[in-house]
Amino acid sequence: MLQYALEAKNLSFRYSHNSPFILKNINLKLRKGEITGIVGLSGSGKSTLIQILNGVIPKRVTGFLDGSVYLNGVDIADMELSYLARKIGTIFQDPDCQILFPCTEDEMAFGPENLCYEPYAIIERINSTAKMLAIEPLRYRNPNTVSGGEKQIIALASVLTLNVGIMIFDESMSFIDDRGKELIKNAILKLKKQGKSILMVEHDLSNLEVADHIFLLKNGTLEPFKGVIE
Amino acid sequence: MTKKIDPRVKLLFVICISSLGLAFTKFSMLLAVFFIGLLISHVLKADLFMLLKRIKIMLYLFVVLVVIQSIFVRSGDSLVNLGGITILTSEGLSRGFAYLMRVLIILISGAIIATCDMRRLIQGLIQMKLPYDFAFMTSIGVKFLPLLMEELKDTLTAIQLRGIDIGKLQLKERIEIISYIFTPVFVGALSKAKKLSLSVECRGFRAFDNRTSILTLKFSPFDYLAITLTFILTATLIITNQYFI
Ligand SMILES: Nc1ncnc2c1ncn2[C@@H]1O[C@H](COP(=O)(O)OP(=O)(O)O)[C@@H](O)[C@H]1O
Ligand SMILES: [Mg+2]
Repeated sequence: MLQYALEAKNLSFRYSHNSPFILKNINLKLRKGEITGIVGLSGSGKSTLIQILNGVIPKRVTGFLDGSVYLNGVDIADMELSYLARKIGTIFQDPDCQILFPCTEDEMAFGPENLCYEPYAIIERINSTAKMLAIEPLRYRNPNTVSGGEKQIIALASVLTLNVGIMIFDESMSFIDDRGKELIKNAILKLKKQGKSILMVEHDLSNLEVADHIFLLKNGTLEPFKGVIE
Repeated sequence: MTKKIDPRVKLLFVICISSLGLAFTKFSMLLAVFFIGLLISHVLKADLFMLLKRIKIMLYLFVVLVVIQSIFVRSGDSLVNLGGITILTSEGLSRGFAYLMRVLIILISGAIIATCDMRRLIQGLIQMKLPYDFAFMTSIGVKFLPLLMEELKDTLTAIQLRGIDIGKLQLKERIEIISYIFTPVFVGALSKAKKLSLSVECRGFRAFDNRTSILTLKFSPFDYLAITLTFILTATLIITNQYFI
């Protein structure tokens, strides 16, 4: 058994020839079944790093990338994005840019429908996901009319129905109120209990209290964070 | 009930009225199609308020069109003369009205489609054997275009609120201002679309040539009735147009 779910080796990246390096020789190991946190200021390259880890860069967003990402020990360079969708789930920074449908249930069905699961299996998965996240009351609601925290939970739910082992959260806690943060935090702890490997990225350290390890992304480099959480 | 009507039935109806709107040339027939469309869109609780707002712009266009048609189409009776030049003829007027009716019919069609639940519309298109990615693209487009228009208008209002009266500016400045407005709105929309497509792909969209669905549309007896009525209505209109008017 490998110890790491996802591993990045010597990642360097810039968006174009004449722009500065956003990431410089980054090494990161996501331990299986644990919560890894990355903290960094706005613009430090957190979202960029996430997109490299989930394969969006360089498969869909172009740039100059050196280094490799390994999924369970295998380089993801040759994997299709649709294959990675079965392994890595990403909750992107802005839920408004993720939610397609005016009904939560349709949103949750979208992923497994793409992967051609049988309808009854999809319904089952929606049931269990809704139960786990305690969002049954939202099931038939319009995600565009709920609170920011609930919207994030719906974005999370629509990734969770894919039943992936690795979950990546891009500032899921940053733009929501305390109640919303509590919802997300509890959900992440439950996911950990289920054995999922989790990466949380935040600009605010106080949102990373559930993390088992924290790294600091600064000036394009990643190092273990040694500060104290206030 | 209106939500329950199969989106394929709405599509059929819309295809019928907009083709008739394009095919008919007689004003009375166009008026009939327009009122039928209006009636149905009212029954379906379409957002006619949006339509009304657009009509305001349309009327302006309409006047210009009538005058242009009157000046260049040299037939029909002259109605208004200005310094020896006929600026309004009966022919120009009726062509202008025909044009107005057509545009209104198209707008009504759009409003009717917009009453469809997006997921059901997509499913309808897929069950009509359209490729699913095409079905998704068009349906998402139908939903997002009005939002884009709204956003453009909001930005425009915001600029006017700052005391800039676009109408009073010179052409060059006007173009400059308008590009100030359009650029961020379009850049914003494009970036949102890009992010949306990334999120969608990371959830496996296009993984296979087809996809399953927890939703399957079935025509209800009411849908069959509506389809039949649509066909009868369309046939009646065509026959009336051919033989009676
Ligand atoms: N698609 C892109 N093209 C060019 N530059 C980009 C792109 N996306 C982000 N950047 C730049 O890369 C830097 C890091 O951005 P990002 O990864 O979004 O940071 P964070 O998520 O930490 O706020 C920023 O300076 C940003 O302007
Ligand atoms: Mg970011």
